This record gives sequence, C-alpha cells and structure tokens, in this order.
Amino acid sequence: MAWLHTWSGLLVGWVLYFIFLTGTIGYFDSEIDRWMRPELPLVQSTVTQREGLDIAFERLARVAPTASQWTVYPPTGHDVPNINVSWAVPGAGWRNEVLGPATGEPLEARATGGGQALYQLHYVLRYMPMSVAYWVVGVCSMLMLTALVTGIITHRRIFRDFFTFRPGRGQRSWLDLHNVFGVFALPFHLMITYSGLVFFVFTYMSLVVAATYGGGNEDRNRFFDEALQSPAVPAAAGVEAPLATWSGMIDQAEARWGEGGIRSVDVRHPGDANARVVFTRSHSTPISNGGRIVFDGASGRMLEHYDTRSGATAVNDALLGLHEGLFAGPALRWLYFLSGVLGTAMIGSGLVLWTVKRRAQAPHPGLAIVERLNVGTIAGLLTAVAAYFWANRLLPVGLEARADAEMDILFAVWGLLLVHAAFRPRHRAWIEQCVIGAVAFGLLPVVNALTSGYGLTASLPAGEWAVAGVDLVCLVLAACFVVAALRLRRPAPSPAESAPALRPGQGRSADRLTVN
Amino acid sequence: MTRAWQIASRVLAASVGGHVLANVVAVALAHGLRGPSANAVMGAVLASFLIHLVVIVWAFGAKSVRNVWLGMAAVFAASLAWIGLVGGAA
Repeated sequence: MAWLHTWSGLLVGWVLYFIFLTGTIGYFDSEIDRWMRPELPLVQSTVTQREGLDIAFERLARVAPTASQWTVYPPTGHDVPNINVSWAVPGAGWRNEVLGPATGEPLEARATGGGQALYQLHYVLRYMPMSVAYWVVGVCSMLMLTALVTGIITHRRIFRDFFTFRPGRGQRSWLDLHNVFGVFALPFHLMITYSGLVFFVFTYMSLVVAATYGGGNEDRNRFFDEALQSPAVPAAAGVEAPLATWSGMIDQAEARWGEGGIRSVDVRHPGDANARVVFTRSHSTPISNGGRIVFDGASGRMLEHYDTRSGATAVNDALLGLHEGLFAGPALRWLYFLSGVLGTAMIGSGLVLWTVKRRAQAPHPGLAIVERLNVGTIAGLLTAVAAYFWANRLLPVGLEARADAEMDILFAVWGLLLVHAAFRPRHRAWIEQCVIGAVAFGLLPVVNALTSGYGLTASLPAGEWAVAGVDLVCLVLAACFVVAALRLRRPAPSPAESAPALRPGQGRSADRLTVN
Repeated sequence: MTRAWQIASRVLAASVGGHVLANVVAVALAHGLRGPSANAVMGAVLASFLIHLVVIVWAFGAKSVRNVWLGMAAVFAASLAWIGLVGGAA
C-alpha cells in the first residue's frame, strides 16, 4: 500500500498541485473578478432580486424580442453580484450580457478572464480540447483518491501523529508536515476529490447509461430528463401571447423560497402561447439548487414545483453543491479556502518528502527531475498566478484577445520558472524562486494602486473587503515566500539531529536542503 | 513472475480492469431488482468510483495478483448474469 501511495501521488503530483491550487483560488472567483475589472465603481451598488429581474426582462424584451429562450440570473450576493442575462438566437447560438444594477445597461470594463478563467483551469486545463482535459483531470482525481485512501491505510497511528511535529529533523519534519496537512482537512480532501469525479461521472462511466437507456443522443437525453427531473416544456405554439406579469410569479417563488431565494429564471418561447417560465432555487443549502417552479408564461399559473430533487439525484446535487460551496457564507468560504490550501500543501509536501527520502538513500535516477519539477511548480506556479494579475494591470486595455493573453502569460511565466529550476543548482533555485515569488506578490498591491483606483488606500477606507482582500492575500503570500527564503538560507541542522535511521556517512546528504 | 511483471499486472488490473469492472458492476446495480430506473442509474454511477477504488486497493493489497484477476473475472461474470436475469425479466 505504501508503494501505491507513493507512486499514485508522485506520478501526477504536479498536475494535482495545479488542480488544487487553481481550484482553491476559485472559492474567491467573484472577488478576483471584481479586482480584475477596475473600471467598475469600487463601491458596488446592488438591487433586490425583484428589481434585478425587472431590469433584466425590460432589457431582454428590448434587445431580444424574437429569442427562443431567455435566461436571467438576478443578483444573489456573492456569486452573482450583477445581473446576468443571456438569450438564444435561433440558428445563431447564445448571447450574453452583464448588466449593472445601478444603470441597467451592460457593464463596460477591460477584457479579462477574471477569476472565472482562473478557477476553470482546474478542470478544463489549457491548450487541449475539453474532452481530453476531462479525462486527464479524471485520471488524476482517481489517483488522488487512491493516494488519499492508501495514505490512510498505511497510517496506523493517524490520531497520535496528528499531534506530532518534529521540526528541524529533515525527513521526519516533512513527513509530519505531510501528515498534518493531510489529516487536518481529511474530510475535505475526500469530499472534494470524490465530488470532483462526480462532475464528469457520465463521461467516465458512460457505459452505465448506454447499457440501460441506450447509446444514442436521444436515449441519453431521455435519461437526463428523467434523472434530473427536468420540467416538461411543450414546443412553441406559433401563436403570439404576451407574457404574464412577473410580480405574481416572483411573489409565489419568494413565498416558497424566501427573499433572495431565486438562482435563475428561464423563459422558453417568450411571447408564445406555449411559453414556460422556470424558476430555479438558489444555493442556500448544498441541495437547494435542485428546486424548481414552472409557470405557464401566458397565464402566470403555477404548473409544477418542488423545493429539492429527490432520491439519488438529491445525493448528486449534494455532492456537486458541497464541491462548489456556493451556499457558503463568508466564514465557511474561508474554511473552504483554507482546506484547499491545506490540500495543496499536502500535495506539495508529499512531493518534497519523496525527494528528501530518496536523497538519503542510494541515488535514484528520477531524483533530479522530481526536484526540478518541484521547484518550478510548487514555487513557480504560484508566481505564475501573480503574473496573471500583473498582466491584467499592465497589458494595454485595448489589446486584441486580451483575456487569452493574460492566461498565456501565466503559462509562459510558469514555463520560464521551470526552465530556471532546471538550470540552477537545486538549493539556489529554491531560494531564488522564493525571492521572485515574494517580489511578484509583494509588489502587486503597489502596481494595482498605481494603475487603477482599486488600491488599498481606496479599498480599505471604503470598507470594500472583497477588493482589498485580494491585495491583502497577495501580501500574505509575499510574506510566506520571504519566510521560506530566510529559512532556506539558514544553515541546515547537524547530521546528528536529522533523520536518525541513517547509515553512517550519509548524514550530510540527508540534511534538509543542503545538497546542491 | 518477476517483480516488474507483478507490478505491471497489478497496475493493469487496477486501472483498465478496475475501470471496466466499475462500469459493469454499476450497470448491474442500476438494474436493481426490477430493471433500470433513472434513480437506480444515478445511484449506481455515484457509487461507481467507490467500486473502482475497491478494485485498486484490492489489486495492490492482495498477496497473489492471479487471484485478483480470477476474482475480477468472477465478479464480472456475476454482474453480466445479473444484468441478463433482471434485464431479460423486465
């Protein structure tokens, strides 16, 4: 089992580190979205869902009267701060706009991938078709699950070791750290890995639907309609009929789900006699998003409703809801974030542990490669994320394909840092990359203040913690890099203090981070 | 068998074998007692990664990899028989 734990973790450790890092950042995607669009007013205005829906439908009736479908996300606070509208143009696909609550007009800001593109990296990756990425992420997740479970199996003294930390003891210290990171947030690690797999379960386990419902597209859709309890929507009648007034439908939705309880409103065949209006419930609990109310669009009469879905589909809703954490308030959201940080640190410390252990033994052919990848990814990828934020502020606002350029810079910087790690002596590479990371994150709040009105001197007095928080987390990360660089410069512990089980004469090479 | 072949055999059993077996056992679970329903299919796919995980741990934990392959073949055959029985009756 120890063998399986080591190799399932090591084989894709860097991809897992990438997935955990970018996924963890995703718990603050909306905050990063705001930070990356500094043209918008620093102090956000907001409206009630009722007012938001009024604005949205007034706009849709004006710009998309002939659309076959309208979808509106009214403001819900954290996840949807503005008003998102989209509509299907027959034969031309979907269009969408983000409307400002204050003006009701589309928001104008620089083109950026924002926090959304950053968090989507953890399952779409980049520079490959999505279908390939799903399989890569799926295989890596299965290996992660394997590493977690075999880690628990090998770990006989899981409770006692939780209270054990032996600092300054080389390999022992790394093992203790790896265990603490793993055990402290173990329920989170198991939940996030299993539920992550569930997102693409019908891709990975495609045989199950094919063998029970049939392999064709129609068969699959029939299964999804039944399983997801999709409301029945008739075809358009081709007879014009104005939509009933919204307020009556909103009254009924709010009576069931409370004020602010609406996630989205979907109008099929607007303006047709067979129009259907489908209200989806907000993420107030992990499974509430399954709730639906269906109205007859022309009369405004309620046709069907449920507050959550039932059976195995509710379990599916719960797993996906727990993974996304959209129901979480500020405190729980931070707990999600910190658990993700622990998961990322668990993977990183496991990768380092592998090298520290191998360095103490006979030379291992893969050691040099793993060491280099560790420096370039554990430190380098973080710095590359800082570069993404730098690019957001420094690329010309009018640049073509600007959002793509931001993301390309992230990967270019990561690539450069991998090259740097490959050519510098290992110990120097760690120190230098920690310094680079400290500078990259430490200066970001300065660059932000110089290039936008979103600097800390503006955001803190205004009490806009969502914006200030991005700068503050950057400063914390810079401080972490400084501490790491200082620790790396300290002389290593004497051979007698480090891993005790060594054969004589090998003590020096076992010391933490002393061999170049 | 050499150690390298042992490991290769276990890796193959855990990866490809585990994936195929997870799918087939899930199809059997989805058939339940009275033929497949949307709810049973959903429940079965949600459990499928657990099935795969059990196969992985088994493939590496068992003393003899030969017994793992034989055991997997038995579960595979039993699942197919169950699907035939319930699917044919439904």
